[in-house]
Amino acid sequence: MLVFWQTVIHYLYFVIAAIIAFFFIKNFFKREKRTNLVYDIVYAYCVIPFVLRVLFVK
Amino acid sequence: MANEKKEKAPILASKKVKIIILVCVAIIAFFGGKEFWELRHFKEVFVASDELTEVKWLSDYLPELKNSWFDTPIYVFDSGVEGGSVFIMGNVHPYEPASSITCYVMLENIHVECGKVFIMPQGNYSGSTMGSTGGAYPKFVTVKTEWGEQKYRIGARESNPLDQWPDPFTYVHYPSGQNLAYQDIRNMNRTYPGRADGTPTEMASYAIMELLRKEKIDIAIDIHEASIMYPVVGTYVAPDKSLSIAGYAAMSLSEYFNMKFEASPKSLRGLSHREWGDYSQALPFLMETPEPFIDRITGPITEEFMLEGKDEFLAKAAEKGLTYVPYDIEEGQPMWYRVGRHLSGAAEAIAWTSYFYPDIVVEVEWPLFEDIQANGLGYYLHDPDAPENASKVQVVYHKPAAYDRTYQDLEAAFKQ
Amino acid sequence: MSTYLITTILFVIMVAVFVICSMKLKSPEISMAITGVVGALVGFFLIDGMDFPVRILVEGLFINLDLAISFICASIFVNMYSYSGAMTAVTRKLVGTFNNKWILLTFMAIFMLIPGALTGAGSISVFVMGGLVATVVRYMGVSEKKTAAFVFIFAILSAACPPINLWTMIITAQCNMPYVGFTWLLSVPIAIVGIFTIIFLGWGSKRAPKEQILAELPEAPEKMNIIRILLPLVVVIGLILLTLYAAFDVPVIGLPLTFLIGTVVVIICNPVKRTFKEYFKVINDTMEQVFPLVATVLSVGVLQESMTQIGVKGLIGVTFITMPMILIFVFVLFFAAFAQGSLSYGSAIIIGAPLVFMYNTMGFDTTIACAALSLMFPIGDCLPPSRITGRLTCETVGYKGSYMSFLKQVAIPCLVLGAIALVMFIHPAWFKFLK
Repeated sequence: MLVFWQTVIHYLYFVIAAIIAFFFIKNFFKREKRTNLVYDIVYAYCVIPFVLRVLFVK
Repeated sequence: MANEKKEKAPILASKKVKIIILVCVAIIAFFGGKEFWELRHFKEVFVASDELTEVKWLSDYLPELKNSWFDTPIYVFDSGVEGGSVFIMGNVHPYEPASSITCYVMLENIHVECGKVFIMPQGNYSGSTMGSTGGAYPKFVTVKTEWGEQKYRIGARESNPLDQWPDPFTYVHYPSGQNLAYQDIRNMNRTYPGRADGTPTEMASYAIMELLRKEKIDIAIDIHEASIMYPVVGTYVAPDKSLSIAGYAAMSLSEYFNMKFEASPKSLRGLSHREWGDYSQALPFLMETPEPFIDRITGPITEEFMLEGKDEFLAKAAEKGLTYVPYDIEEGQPMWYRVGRHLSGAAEAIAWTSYFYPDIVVEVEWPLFEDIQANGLGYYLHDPDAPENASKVQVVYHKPAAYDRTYQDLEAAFKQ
Repeated sequence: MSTYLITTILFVIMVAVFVICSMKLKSPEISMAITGVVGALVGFFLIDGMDFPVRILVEGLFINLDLAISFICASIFVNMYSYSGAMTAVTRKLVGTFNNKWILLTFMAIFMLIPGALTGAGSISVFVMGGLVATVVRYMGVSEKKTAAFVFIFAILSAACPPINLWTMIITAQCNMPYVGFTWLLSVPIAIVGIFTIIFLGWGSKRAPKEQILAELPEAPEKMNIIRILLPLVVVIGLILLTLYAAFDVPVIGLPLTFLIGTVVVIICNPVKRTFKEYFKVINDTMEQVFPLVATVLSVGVLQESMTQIGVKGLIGVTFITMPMILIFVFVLFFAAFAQGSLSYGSAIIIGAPLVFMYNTMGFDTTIACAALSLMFPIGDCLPPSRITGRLTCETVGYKGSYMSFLKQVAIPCLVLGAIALVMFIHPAWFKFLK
């Protein structure tokens, strides 16, 4: 049973990473604070680890 | 307000510019990701000695591991002559590749006269499939041979988060309840004796314990490498029951190099040299060789550094007496030296155990330190593409896999 | 060129790039990332046998990925909790119950210490308790600057506080020492600095009358009761305690999921029915609010990975640990704090572990030395380039003054902490009774 829950939680974390990636990409295109070009770049590169994790690459 | 500073208007990017930024970042992510993928799916190969009798899997001892990235092959060499049994494991910390290369040299050249030998070159397969995050390590280390180059991966210390995620904020060791740093929950050499229903790393540790118990292993050798600023370097670590044997083996080795021996601390739980002995009948030996590459205060991290072990900063630290083995930058701590130490270290541990316990005698041969010193490391690695070796090639992966010659054939055709 | 020369050149280039970027771009996150990229690229051209650094730089983004996810989930929990009106209700209850300023400040200090002590992360204390504590402390008549300092000091003390002190755990893991014998060695100095901080920051402030404070505070939702207020907190703290004390009977939940479960409980306990759209907006606003911090921890990873690859991290480490012992004593506080500022927990590995080994060789008490170092590192959490907890505190508390003025305010309590740690480090024998 413990192993089952462990597996469920493991995949839940990938879902969490995917949701965060979604918000980052959404906010990359449209956000209220820090709207300048510099933060566009910051948003863009900060999405990388979440996307690569969701894709089971790293 | 009059005294309010006039702030510059922020530079806003148009949608077009945003898409360009996203594409640029995607390209970077793609190339980075491609390399991660390559490391994750790389398959090491070796040409097995003629005496290979069976290939077992870690999942044979805990079926839940089947199809997971913790499953890993175990190569069995049975002489057919009654005697003891030996288990040898490399790469439980996959950022210590001299340990897996030692296993490959054994696997390619072993001759067993008496007893049975089990060799597991990738102790933590999952950990070998990623680079050490924060370590900036190269992906591979290449050993030059007469027929070309043999490539081995440089992995991480812990299991891959793709296979075990999340970490807790602190790791509580089973069954002692000792608190350890959170990332140690993925460190296989902190999770023994493991649990059949624990985390994947604990399950893999448990499977290793099951192997030791079910195969009635008499001598169990865990091969490691250590940073040279770590006191337990160039050392055998053994619990009370195998400590005196380690002492004799260390003395025998002093003809070639300095090897210390140290008692396994009783208060530090989860390590092979403690739990293997406490939870099975095996006589455990953990061997550490000097690997400057994994020291923390080194210069640039390159493949050459991994192979040669030469570093100015460590030489400076050695001058100040901060290293636990003598360190000369002219000589470094090259791969051949580290592998040679392990080959002789394992052979001596087995020989002295057989001497003290004649009922579990194991007679085994493979190249030793002096052989590697004389002929080089590559001399003992065989060409997997040579036609005469075709039937002996073994692929080390987390599940059975065929040796894919397509790439090599294409490369050869291109060269012609 | 020798390794010393190359890495020194690279270090100078990186410092220059960081300073210029910080001034021009006004974003510490991108400044760290650019510094890492420039360092890695120049290193690629200067050093033989160096891999092209694209993988290394992307890998750097993963160093603090789990921390970033924890920050996001903790913020969602806290913002949802505030949105439900529970935070206002707690504040009203506290102010209404306790009349004495010193008792209230002491309670606030203990509130701050709990999350960090249980999780090992001071930033979690700021996230979970920072907003509430700052509100109450402000009503005690403490200035904005001192309020920020109060939250920061107790956040770093919480990180150092047992049972979970990550610096100690990392050093003991590196040195093959058991993580035992630290409880009093860490708790007593923390208690001394804590008491000093309460007196130092609370002195001279004048609490407004209870009625006035309650009149100023927004009203809590009508149906908000003690169960609705406490249940989310009890669930989160309960899950954390289960992880610690029933570890073999529960799966590994991890901090992010712990906070998300707490968030679900907040939603269930909310007396006012809200729509999905409203909750979505709260989450979206939280994402924007927490992004600079997430970007900071991800970017500092790029910088760290780059510094490791090109040997700059090694240069910093070797320069420090090969100094004569007397100079080590003089500079250890400075180096430990700045190493923490630039390498985060990596500081425990490059400075902490070698020093403990050195003490071992010299026959000094390594447990006390390790505890002393673990009390020094947290001070660096307010220092650049990363200044994670410092920055987070200013944002959570809403401190509008300059960062330098904040640093000046935290300096004295930090120095007291540093002084105690330094005495422990230089004279471990004096503290043996605490083992």
